Amino acid sequence: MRSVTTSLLLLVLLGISPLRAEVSFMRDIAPVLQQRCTGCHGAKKAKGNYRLHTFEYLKEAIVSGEPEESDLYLLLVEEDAESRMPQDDDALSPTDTELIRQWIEGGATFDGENPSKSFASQAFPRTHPSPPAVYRVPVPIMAMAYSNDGVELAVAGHHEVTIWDPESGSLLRRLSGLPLRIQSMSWTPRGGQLVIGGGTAGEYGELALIDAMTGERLKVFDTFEDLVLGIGLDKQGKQLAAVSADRTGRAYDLESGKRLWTSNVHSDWATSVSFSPDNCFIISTSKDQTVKVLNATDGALFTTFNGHRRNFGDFPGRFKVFAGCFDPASGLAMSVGEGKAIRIWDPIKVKEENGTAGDMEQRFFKAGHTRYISHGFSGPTFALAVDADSVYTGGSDGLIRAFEFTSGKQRLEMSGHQDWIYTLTLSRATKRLATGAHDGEVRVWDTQDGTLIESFMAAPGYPVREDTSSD
Amino acid sequence: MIQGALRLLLIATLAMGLGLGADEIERLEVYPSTVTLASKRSQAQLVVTGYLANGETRDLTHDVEVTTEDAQVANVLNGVVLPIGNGDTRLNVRFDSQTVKVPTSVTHQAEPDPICFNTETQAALTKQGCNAGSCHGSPDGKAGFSLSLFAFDSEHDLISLVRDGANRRVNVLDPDASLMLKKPLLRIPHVGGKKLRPTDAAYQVLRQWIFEGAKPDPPESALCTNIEVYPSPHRILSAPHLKQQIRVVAQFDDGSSRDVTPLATYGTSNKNVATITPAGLVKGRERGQAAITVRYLQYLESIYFTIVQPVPGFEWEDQPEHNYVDQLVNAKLRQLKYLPAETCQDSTFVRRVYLDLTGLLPTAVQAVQFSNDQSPQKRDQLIDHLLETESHARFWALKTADLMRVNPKLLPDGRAELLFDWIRDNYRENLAHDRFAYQILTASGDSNRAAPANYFCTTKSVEELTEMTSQIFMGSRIGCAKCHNHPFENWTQDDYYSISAVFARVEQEGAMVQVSGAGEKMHPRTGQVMKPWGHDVSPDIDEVSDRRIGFANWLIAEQNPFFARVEVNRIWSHLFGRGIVDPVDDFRSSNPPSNVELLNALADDLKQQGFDRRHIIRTICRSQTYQRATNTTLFNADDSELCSHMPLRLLTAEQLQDAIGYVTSTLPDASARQGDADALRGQFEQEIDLFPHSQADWEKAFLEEAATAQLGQTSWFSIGPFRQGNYEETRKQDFVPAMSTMDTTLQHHGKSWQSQPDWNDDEQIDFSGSNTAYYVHRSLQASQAMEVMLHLKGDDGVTIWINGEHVFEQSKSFLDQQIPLLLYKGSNDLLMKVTNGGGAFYVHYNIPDKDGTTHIPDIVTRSAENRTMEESQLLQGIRITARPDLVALQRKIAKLMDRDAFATQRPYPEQTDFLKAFGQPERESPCACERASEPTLDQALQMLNGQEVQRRIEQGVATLSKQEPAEFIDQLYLAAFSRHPREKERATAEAYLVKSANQEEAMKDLMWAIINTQEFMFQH
Repeated sequence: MRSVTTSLLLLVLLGISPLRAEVSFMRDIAPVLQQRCTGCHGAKKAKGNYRLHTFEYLKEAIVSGEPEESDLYLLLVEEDAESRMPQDDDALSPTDTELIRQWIEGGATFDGENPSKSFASQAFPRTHPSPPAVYRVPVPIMAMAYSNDGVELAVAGHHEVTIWDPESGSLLRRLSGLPLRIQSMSWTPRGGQLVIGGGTAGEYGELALIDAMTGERLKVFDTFEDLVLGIGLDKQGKQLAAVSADRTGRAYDLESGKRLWTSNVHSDWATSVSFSPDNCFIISTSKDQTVKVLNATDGALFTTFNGHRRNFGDFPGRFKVFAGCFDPASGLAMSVGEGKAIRIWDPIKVKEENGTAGDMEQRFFKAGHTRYISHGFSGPTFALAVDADSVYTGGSDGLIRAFEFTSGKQRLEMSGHQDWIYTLTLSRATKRLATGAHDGEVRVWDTQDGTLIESFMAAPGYPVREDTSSD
Repeated sequence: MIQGALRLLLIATLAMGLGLGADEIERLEVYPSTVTLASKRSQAQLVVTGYLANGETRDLTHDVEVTTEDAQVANVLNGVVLPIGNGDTRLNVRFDSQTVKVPTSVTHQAEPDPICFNTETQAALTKQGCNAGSCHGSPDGKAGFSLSLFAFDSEHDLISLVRDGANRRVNVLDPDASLMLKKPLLRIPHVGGKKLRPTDAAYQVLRQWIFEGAKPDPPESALCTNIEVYPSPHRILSAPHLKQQIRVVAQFDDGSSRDVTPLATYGTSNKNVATITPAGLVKGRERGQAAITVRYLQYLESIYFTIVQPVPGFEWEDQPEHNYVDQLVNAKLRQLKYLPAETCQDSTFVRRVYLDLTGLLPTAVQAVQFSNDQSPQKRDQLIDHLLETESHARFWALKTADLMRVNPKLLPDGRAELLFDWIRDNYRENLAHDRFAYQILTASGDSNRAAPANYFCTTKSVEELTEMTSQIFMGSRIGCAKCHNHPFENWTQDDYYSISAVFARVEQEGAMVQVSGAGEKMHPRTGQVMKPWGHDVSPDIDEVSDRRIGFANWLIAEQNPFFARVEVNRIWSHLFGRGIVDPVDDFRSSNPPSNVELLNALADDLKQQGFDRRHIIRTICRSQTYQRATNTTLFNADDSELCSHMPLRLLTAEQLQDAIGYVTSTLPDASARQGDADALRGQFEQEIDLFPHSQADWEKAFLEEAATAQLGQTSWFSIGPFRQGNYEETRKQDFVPAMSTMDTTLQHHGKSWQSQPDWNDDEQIDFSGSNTAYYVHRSLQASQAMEVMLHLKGDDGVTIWINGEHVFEQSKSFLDQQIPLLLYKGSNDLLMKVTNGGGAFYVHYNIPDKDGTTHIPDIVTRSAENRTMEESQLLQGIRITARPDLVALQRKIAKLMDRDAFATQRPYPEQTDFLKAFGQPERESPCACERASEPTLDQALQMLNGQEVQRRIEQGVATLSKQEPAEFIDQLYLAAFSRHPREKERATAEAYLVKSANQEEAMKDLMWAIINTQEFMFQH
C-alpha cells in the first residue's frame, strides 16, 4: 500500500494532467466527496437516506461501468437546479464531475484500505502548495523546536517550517511544501530530521518525517481526520507518538514507520503527548479535562488523571488540559491548561488513588498526592517546558514564568510578549528558552537570568517590527 | 384614532369609486432624498415609493430606471448606490414620465475602510445564524465552538473565533482556508448545514475581516446607538403589488451613520402572510397581518405589514356599530375583506355575558327573566348589573390572583385568602388600576395584615420578582435578558438588572416585607452597579427612598408604553379568549397586535377614564363585536384574530364545575345568596347602630360584673398522634380544623378525641413520639369578657386557636412565655396543637390569675374619646359576643358569603382531579399560559364518567326527582343552555323519561347527556 501511495505522489509531483485514463478513487474522488457531499450525506446526517462517507455506502449510488445509470453521477449533472447536487450550492467543477464519470465508467474500483471505514480515516497523504514568498501578515506561532545543539530554531509557518538562528533572529532556510498548519514538531535524536504533526483544521491531519535541510518529506507516517496537535518522541528515539483533534492517539516505530497502536480514550481533542523518562508511559492531555496515562508499548490505558476536574480540594473547577510533560529527574508528570495551577503528579500513585467506584465518596475528601504550583495567570496556559530544576509556562497573559520544580517558588518572570503565548522550547545546550506568540513574534531568553536575547517576527519578508524589548 | 379609522373607510370607498384611474402614480418619492457615501465600502439602498391618487403607496424600487449623471462617482445596481470615486453627482430616478433627482456625494474613497468587528463581523455572524440559540449561540456552544447569543459579548466571541481551539478557525494569511468560512460554506462537513454563500454580503465581511488580520476593533471605534428602518411603522400591500424594499440605517456614537440593509437580520411573525429576503425585500403572500422584524446588533425594530388580497364574491355588509370598538374592528375587517357576523340571540348573549363577567351560568329564572324583558336597553342593563355583583368581583379577582401566585403553599396562614380578598375588594370597589398596581408594587409591612405585601412573598429571588412584575404589569417576558440580551425584543441585560435593582432592597423574611437602605444589583458580566429602573422618571427619589416608588411611577405614567395596553389586552382576552396581542404577556414588536388601532384606542380610553377597568369591560361588552354570533360564513370562517365572529370557547375548569353544579342543582344560586346576605347584613348593622344608645348602661354593668369576674375551665380532651413526613410538614399540616365551636364527638384522620380528666394545670403534660403532633382542647368559661395571661412552657412547636381564631404560633425551640388570651363572655373554645421534633415532648399550661387582667375594664373606665380605634372595636366585639342573636346573625351572613363551594369564586384553586384536568393552574407562575387550554383525553374521561360529574348527577336527581318530566326537562335546558328546549328536543326527552321503568335513572341519563353536549361545555 505504501508503495502505491508513493508512486501516486510521484505521479502528482510529475504534474501529470488530472484527466488521465487511470483515476484513483482515494486521490481524486474521495477528497471531493469529503468536501462537497459528506456534510449532508455522512456519518452524522444522511439526507435522502444517502451516505457517501464510506465506500460501502457509496456503492449504493453507483452502477459500476454505467455512469448514466448511477445516481451519484446523474444527480451531479441534473439540469433541474432544485434537484442538482450539491443542493443549494455551486455545482462541482467540470473536471471533478468528469473524473467521477470516468471512474464509474472504468469500473468504480476502490483503492483505499477499508471499504467500510470513512474516507477521511484513510486519506492519502496530500500534496501541499508552497508557502507565500513574503508573509503579508504574520501567522500565530503554534510550534517551535530547538535543534539538539541549540544552534537552530525551527518555527512552524504557513505550509512550511522556517529555520532561524535564534541568537541573531536571521532566517537560515525555509522547508516548504508542508501541511497548512504545523501544530507540533521535534528534531530526531540523531538530528538532521524533523518530525512534524499538523494538517488542515477539520478535515486532515498529517504526521511526517522531513529532512531538516531540504524539507523533503521522507516519510508520511499517517494521516488523521483532523489536525495532529501533539507529537512526542521517546528518549532513545525509537518510538514516536502523536495525538490529534480527531481524538485518537497513535504510536509508530520511528525507523520503519510502522504504526504500533491506536488509542481511542479521549472524548475531545487530544492536545499533547509526552513519554516518561523510563519510556514506560506516555501521557496524553485533552480538552476533555483529563490526562490519560497509556502504556507506551501497547497503548493500553493505565490510568486517568482527574486533577483538572475536581469539585473539592485545592484549585477546584473543570479545566481543559493543553500541555503535559515529565520531569526527567523525578519521573513526575506535569500538566497545565485552563485554571491557575500546574499539576505535578505521579502516574502510579494516581492509579492507586483513583481506587474503585465503591470508595469514591471518601476519595472526594482526600487531598491526594498531587502538587500544585500556582502560576497566577488569568487565562488559559498552553505550553510547558522543563529543564534540570525549573518548569516554564506561559499563556494568554503574554508572560512566561519559571518555577523551581521542588519548592514551587517562582524563579523568573519574563515579560514583553504582546500577545498570547502558544509554545515554549528549551535548549539545554545553549541554556535558552524560545517562546512563540499569537502575533507571530518569537522571543529568545536566557534561562539563567531571564534576559531577552533576541526577538523577531517569524514571518519571512514581513516588515521587522520596531524593537520593543527595552520597555 | 377613531377618526383615522373613518378616514381609512373613506379612502377605501373612494378607491372603489374611482376605478382604474386610481392606479396611476401621482407622485414619486425616493428615500433617502440625498445620498452620501463617505467610505470605500459604504453603499445606500434606495427605496422608491409611488403615491397613488387614492393615497395608497406602491413600492417601485425595483421598477424604476436609475441613471447616474457622473458614472465616475457612483453606480446604481438593483436599487443600491455604490461608490466609484470621490465627487458629487445626481441620480435620475425615473418611472414612466416622472423623474426624481437624488444629489449624491462620494468621499473618502482613497482611504482604507477596515471591517469593524463589533458592528460588521458580529452583524454578519448574526445574519447567517451562527450565533443563534440553537447553534453556536447556545450556552455551551455547539461542537466545541461557542459564540454569545446574537453577539452580545464581543470579547468572548473574539477569543472563540481567533484563539480558542489552537487558532484553528481563522487563517489570516489564507482566509479561504479558515474553518469559519469553510464550515458554513459546506466545503467540509458542517452539522449546521450550509449557512453561507460566496454571494452573501456577510461572506464578504467575514472574509475581509479575516484578511485584515481577524483583529478586535481599535479602542476608539464608534459604537452603534440606534437603527432607523424605512418604511415605518406600517405598510399596506395590495395584490398584485406585493413587494416592498426595506432600508436599514445604523447610527453611531460619533455621529456617523451607515446603510446596513445587507447586514441586518430579518424575520417575520407570520411567513404565510409576508416573507423577507436577506437583502431586505418583503414579499406579501396570503391576506393578513405580519410583523417584519429587523435586527441589527442589539437593536430591533418591526414594521407591520397588512397584505390585502382580492376575495371573489366579497361584498361588505354593515352591522350595527355600538361604539368605537365596533368601528375599529370593522375597519380592519373591511380592509382585509372579512364579514362581521350578525348579533347573537338573547339566549346566547345572556349565557355568554354571565359566564364572562361572573364565571357562573345564569340560573333558569335569570335566563327566562332576560328573554322576557322587553327593554331595548336590556343588554346594557344586564352588563351594568353583572359588573356590580359580588360574583363578578370574585371571578375577575381569580383571574388576577392566578397571575400573582395566590396559593396557600406560598402564602400560608390565611395570607392567600387575605391577598385574594384584597384583590376582590379592588374589583368590588373598582379601584383604579394604576392605584392597584402602585399599592401592590410599593407594599410593605407584616403581610398577615398588609395584604398587598404578600405580592413580595411568593418569589424566592429578586430576579423572579423582576420577571413576575414585568410579565404581569408590562406584559413582557424579560427572563431571557437575565443571561443575555433578549433575542426578540429590545430588552437588554442592562435593562433586566436595572429593573432588578428596583427590588434589590426589598427584604422579605417570613411574612415581613421591608425596604432597607442598602443593597445593590450588579451586572453579572460587567460587575457594574445598576441604576434602578425609573430613576430618571422620579429624580426627586433620593438614595434612601424606596426605589419601588420610582419604578411604580414610571409604570403608571400616562406615557408608559406597556401598562394601559397590557391591561386592556388582558381584559380583551378574558372576553374573547384571545388577546389583541397574544399571548397576552408577550408584548414585543415582533409579536404585533392584530388590531393596533383598537388596542391603542382601548388603552387611551382606560387612561382617560382614570384607569377604570370596569369602564373598559363595559365598553367591550356593549359592542356589537362582543355580541356577535359564533356562526361563520364563507367570508369569515378562516378569521381567528380579527373578531369577525365570536369564537367557541371551552368553559374554563372553574366555569365548567360550577356550571355542572348549577345544572344539577348541587350549588345554591350565588346571586340569591348575595341578596340574602345583604339583607342580613343590613339587619345586623341596624342592631350595631343601636349600640351607642345603651353604651353607658352596658359599660356600667360590665364594670360591676368585672369585680367578680371568674374563669372556669372544663377538663382536657386530646387527639393524636398525627404525622406527615418531617417535623415542619407535620407542624404545618392542619389535621384538626380549628372551629369556633369544637365538637369532640368528631373523628379526624381516623382518630377520636380522648377525655383527659387527670391532666392538671401547672403540671407537665407529656406526649410521646418524634415528628408527631397532638391536639388538646378545653373550654374556658368566662363570666365576662376578659383578657387572661396563659403561662405556657413547652418544647418545639405550639399553635393556639381561641374560638377558631389563630392567636399564637411558636415554630421550634424551647418555650416559656406569657400569652394573652382574649376571652368573650361565656364559653370559649381553646385548641392547642403541640408538635415534637424529637426528644422531650410536653406542654406546661397554667393560667395563674383567673380573675382576668384589668386590661378590658381599664378601657371601659376610660371615656370614649380616650380609646383608640382598636380598643373601641374590641369593646364592640365584646358586646356582640355577649348577644347570642347577633352572633347567630354573624354566622349566618358568613355562611351565605362563603363561596368556597364555587370554583369560580374561591380565593385559591382547589386542584381537584376534575379542575386539574380542565387546566386550573396551581398558581405557581405569573404566566397566563399556566392555565392549560389544550383538550386532553382526561377531560373526556372526566365528563363521561368522572366522579365529580357522577356525584353531582346523583345528588341532583335525588333532589329534583319530584319534578314532573316536562318541568324537569324545561328547567334542565334553561339551566344548561339558557333557553327552552326546542319542540323536537322536548318530545325526545319526554318520550325517554315516560318510557323508562326507572324514572330516576332516566333523569340521570338525561342530565348526563345534557352535560356532555358541546352546547353545554362551550361558551357560544
